[in-house]
Amino acid sequence: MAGKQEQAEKKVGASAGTSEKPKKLVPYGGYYTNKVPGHDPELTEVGPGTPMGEYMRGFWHPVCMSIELTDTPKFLTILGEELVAFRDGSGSVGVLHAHCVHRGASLEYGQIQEHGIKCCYHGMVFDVDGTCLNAPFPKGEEAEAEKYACSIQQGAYKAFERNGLVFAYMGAPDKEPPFPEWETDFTVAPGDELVPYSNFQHCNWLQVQDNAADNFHTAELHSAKNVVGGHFQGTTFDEVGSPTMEVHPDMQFVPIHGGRGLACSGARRVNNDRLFIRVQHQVLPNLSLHAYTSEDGSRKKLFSRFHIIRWTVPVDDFNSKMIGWRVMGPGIDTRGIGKKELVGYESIDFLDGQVALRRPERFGNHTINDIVDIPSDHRARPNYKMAQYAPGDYEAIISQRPIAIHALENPTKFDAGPYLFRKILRDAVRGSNAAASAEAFSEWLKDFNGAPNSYCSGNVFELPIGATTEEEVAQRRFVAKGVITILTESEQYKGEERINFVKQKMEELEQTAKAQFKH
Amino acid sequence: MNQISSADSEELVIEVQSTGQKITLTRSESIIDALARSGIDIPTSCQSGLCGTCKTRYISGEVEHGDCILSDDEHQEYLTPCISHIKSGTLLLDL
Repeated sequence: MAGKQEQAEKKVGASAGTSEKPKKLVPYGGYYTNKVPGHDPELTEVGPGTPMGEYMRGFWHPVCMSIELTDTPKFLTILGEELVAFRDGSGSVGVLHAHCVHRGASLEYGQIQEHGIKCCYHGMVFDVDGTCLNAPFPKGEEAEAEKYACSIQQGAYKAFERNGLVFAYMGAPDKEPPFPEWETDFTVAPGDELVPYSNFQHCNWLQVQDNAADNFHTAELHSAKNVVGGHFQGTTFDEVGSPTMEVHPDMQFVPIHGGRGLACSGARRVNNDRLFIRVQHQVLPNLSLHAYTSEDGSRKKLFSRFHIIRWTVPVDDFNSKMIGWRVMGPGIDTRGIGKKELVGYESIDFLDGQVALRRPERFGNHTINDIVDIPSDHRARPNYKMAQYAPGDYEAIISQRPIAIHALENPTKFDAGPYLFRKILRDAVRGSNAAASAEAFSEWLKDFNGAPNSYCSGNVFELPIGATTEEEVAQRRFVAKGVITILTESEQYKGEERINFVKQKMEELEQTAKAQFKH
Repeated sequence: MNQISSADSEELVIEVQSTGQKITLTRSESIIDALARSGIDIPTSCQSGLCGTCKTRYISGEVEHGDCILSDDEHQEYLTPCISHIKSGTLLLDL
């Protein structure tokens, strides 16, 4: 970004008032744009001691799925740190630095104990908090062993399991924030459930997060019209009957919660009678809350809630994982099209093309309960050509380079979502928005007993199309903004009282729009 | 982002530092368009305050910034004329 602005600075003085085209616009002039500048380290690099890495460490993150914890330790890299995760015999979950603090052997070859884990090399045993429980010294030297054990501590992070995911906090212990219980219950309706999943991405975390706020790509990347030669592979919304997601949304992006999040309110016309307003909620630094992904707009619906709760967790600077929950059941999934057997390790049900393995390969010899091998070179996949015919999110995102180069981007106005998110992220990391610092975010969570409200919602209004294009544009923007205003007003309420408030205000908004615009 | 603070009809002025040229406009016209009709073409690309192509230095004036990329410090000295507006009075541009 900085590089681009510097170019712009030079350019304005030189070219203002002239019509000379810059070199980058010369036809057949790839020569002029063949140099690749560096990535944006402030937002993309996450290792220990980096600005973004330190910021990220102020939050709880899912690090793996519960099914990855077996009778052998699970080796993980998270935020550039090599770790092992395990569930000991007593049921406690440990997330420890992988390399034994004694002489560095990896605890992934260690033996899980009733309490803690034993290193394979010299037998030191570490509890889930890193305390050395035993150092095997020869008989008669127990006192020295005890003394030695007290002098070492394996690097450890507090961890717990929730609905099939393992969460860890990797920051300073004295700054541990509450685990954010969004809406107290993640808006899971009675009879619905949180189904865990983990989808590996071979690229930097931020471009995966960018994709969540990029509400325009669905109408192209996920559209049947862009599949080559009819080689359909379940990567488009046309194939799964969610045509509203194929309509270019008219987006309103509003920073919310003191710059700790972004509300992305998108208006899509269903038909001549109904207007669909989908509000996605992006939360700093790496959470996104997605409304119903399969809406067909067939009937009026007000304040439908979470369908995906997703963290984009950095593995290292060049790899990341989308880990989260799919909300499943008749409460949220009014069309009843969710497929639980497709939600889990390296799979999710809404579209294919979300990970390196496609469903025929992912499920050819395996079930959803298997921890499958993940191909790391996308071009070496046997089905590479098929993926070229019908690319999915995985292909689009990871092929933006291992770390996308922001300085080379030429955004359109429709990229405002990711760009605004990067801005609020940068303000938080730099400290130019003190309210969004990790410490202030933690205090904010405490103010809500760890259970803040979310703007995430899916809403279908009975609103006829405007009499003219101008009327329609004005109407859809009025309603998209109005929904955000209502959600902001509702921040003062909780639970049932808030639901009633929001629904009543949305009814009023519908009536106001009906009266205000020509149809 | 763009809270409208000046009335649509209020007369606003852009002054070009190097020539002293004054261009009047109202809220409904972008600074970029007002400059263009006066023969001053500033390169643009995204037209929405994301890319920084049109980033221009200003010397004085009250600016309502609409971009997503400049920091608060940069806003004291630079604006993106594609999306930003004059709050009131005169904007003196370093052109």
